[in-house]
Order: sequence, then C-alpha cells, then structure tokens
Amino acid sequence: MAPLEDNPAPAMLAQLKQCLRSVTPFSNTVQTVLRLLGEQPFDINKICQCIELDPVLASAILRLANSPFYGFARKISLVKDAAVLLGVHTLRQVVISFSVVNAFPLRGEGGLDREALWRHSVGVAVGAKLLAETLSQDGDEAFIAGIIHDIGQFIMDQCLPEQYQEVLNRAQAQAGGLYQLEQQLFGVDHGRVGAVAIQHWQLPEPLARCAAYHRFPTVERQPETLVDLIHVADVLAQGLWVDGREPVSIERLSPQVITRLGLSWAQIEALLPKIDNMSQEMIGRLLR
Amino acid sequence: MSCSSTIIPTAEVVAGMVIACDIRDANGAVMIAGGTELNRRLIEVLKLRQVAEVEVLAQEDASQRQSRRDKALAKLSQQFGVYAEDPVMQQLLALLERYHTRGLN
Repeated sequence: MAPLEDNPAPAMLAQLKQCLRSVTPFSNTVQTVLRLLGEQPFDINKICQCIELDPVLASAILRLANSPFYGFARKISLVKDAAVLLGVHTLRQVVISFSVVNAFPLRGEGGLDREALWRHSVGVAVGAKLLAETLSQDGDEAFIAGIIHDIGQFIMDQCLPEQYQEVLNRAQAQAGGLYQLEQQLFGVDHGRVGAVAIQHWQLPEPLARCAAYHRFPTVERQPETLVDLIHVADVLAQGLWVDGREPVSIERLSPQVITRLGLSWAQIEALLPKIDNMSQEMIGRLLR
Repeated sequence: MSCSSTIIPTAEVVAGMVIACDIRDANGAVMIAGGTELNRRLIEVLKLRQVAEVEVLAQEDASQRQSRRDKALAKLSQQFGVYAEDPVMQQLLALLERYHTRGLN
C-alpha cells in the first residue's frame, strides 16, 4: 500500500470527487417514486404501481411499515395500505432511508466497521425523530437527516478503502481527531464529503448542512433546528450503546443547542428508553 | 433465542422483563415488539388485550447484571473523562448513569 503523505493529496481529492459521482443510492425506480411523491397533487395509485416494479423496495416498505415504531394497529400487507397509512412524508422517509442503507452493504472492502456505523446512524435517526416530535418538529426529515449524517464516512470507505483504513487506524491511536486526520490526509473531512454527496443526490439542502455541521453546531452561521436535533441525537447515541467501537471520548453536547431547542433534561431522560428500544427495533428491520 | 427465553403467564410478568419475540394480535399486527422492556403500562396492555402468556428473555442473574452495569459505567467514565469541569456534560453523565443502572441498586 502506498504510504500516506501528511499533506492533502490533490490526486486523492480528485479521485474522491470522481468516485462520489458514481455512488448512486437511488435506482431509476426510486427516483421516479421520489419525483411522484413530490408532485402536487400526488397520485397514490401511480406511486404504488411504481413501487411494485421493485419487489425489494416494496417488501422493505412493508417490513418497515409494520414496525411498532409507526404504531399501526393491524398488519399491513399491501403497498397501497402502507402508502395510505404512512402518508406521503413518512413514505418518502422510508424510501430514502432504505435506499441509502442499501447502497452501502454491511461488508465493504475497506476498514470501516460499516455495521457499527449503520447501527449508530439508525440510532441517531430514531433519536432525532423522537426529539423532533417532542418539540413539535418534522420527525420524518429528522429521521432522514440522522440516517445520512455520517454518509461521508461510507463514501470515503467506498472510494478510498486503503487510505481511509489508514486514517481510521490513526484516529484510534490518537483520540478524537478523525476530522482533523481526514483534513490532513485528504484535504476534506467526511462531513463535507457527505454534504457534497447529498447535494449531488438532489436531497434537500438542510440535510447537507446536517452532514456538514452536526459536529460543530455553534460555528458562526444561522442556527438551524434540524442540525441541532442531529447534534443532540448523535451525542445521545454515543452514550447509549456499548459496543466497544465508539470513540475514546464522547462528543461534547453544546449547551447553546440545548437552550436553542428549548429541551429540558427531564424531556431527554424520558426519551432515553424509547430511543434505546425503538433503535433496536429499526436496526432489525433496516439492516438485513 | 429459545434456549435463553421462557414462557410465563401474563399474571406473573413484572416490569423490567424483556419480550423475546414480537407479540401479535389476532390480525397479525405487532402489539409489542421483541426486545421491548416491559413497564407497568405495557403489562396493563397485555392484560387488557387478554394475552395469556408471553415469552420473555431469561432474566440475567445478579452477577451478569452487575457485570453489565460495571461495563456500562466504566465506558461512561472513560467517555466523559475529559469533561470533569463541564457542568452540561456532568448532567448528561448523571442521566446516562441512571439509565444504564435502572432497575438495579
């Protein structure tokens, strides 16, 4: 393996950019479904016909729709029922989440523990959705934001497997410096890579900002509720599960964010068991 | 999971037990998902819906429980090590410690 220079290598950056464009989590069918879901007024029959063209997608939608996370009282066995019961927003959330998770198989060629990162991402998604709902915000958008907040890491692992493995090895040895090391070696960190990918996939702009800023919610810029939610959910997920793969120290929870969101400690404490249980539930349904 | 779970009558279920497999109603809808930890409210639901018996994960014995708690606490004290002077992080730590040691003394 070629030794890594401690200077950003333009060649690697170019390779990353090129590879990023080739990563397409959304199949033609999914793209059509997303387009139809965005139409006003939408045609539910057309959407369902389109979903049924892709049996893997259809069965994933049914599997997810039957999760207690969405709390429907009866078994849903038709795509159309799922679409009607979930509603357009949640259906869009399910389609996007499933497609993105599916685009990065649990076993990659690189050194990233993808399963652990997906488990973490689902935990952040569930936490963000529950926090959003507690604060009367859009839970579906928060869920998607949680699923893709660390997508840059998957992309780096996919595009530069050997080099990224080296970064991960070094990050383990010296605590807390993943962003710094990425900057040093690639000239760009996974937050930025994720943001560029999200823009490239034509997902809403706030999702790109979540990927870029969830770790630094207080840098000088217009505060944004979605970014703040992902920040809190990310810290909570790091504290909730022990799997031995988490960073040596937890990320610092920003007091400004807690104040901005108007979140109380009692609210956070009340959500912990829900986040814990529902995450395990969704992990079982999304990662298979 | 069958080796580590037991079927017990709903009347004997207590809070803190963990459901082994999804509990479904007559229509096949999931009433309580596998992996859910039962609380008083959920036990009421089971009784109201007249579920006769449930499959729960084998309860950890005292030493397993102790070791799980110790592991979680050790991890937390390591993760929060650098935040000894940070009041917000200390508050978060207290909250997570309470969560990881719930149901134990």
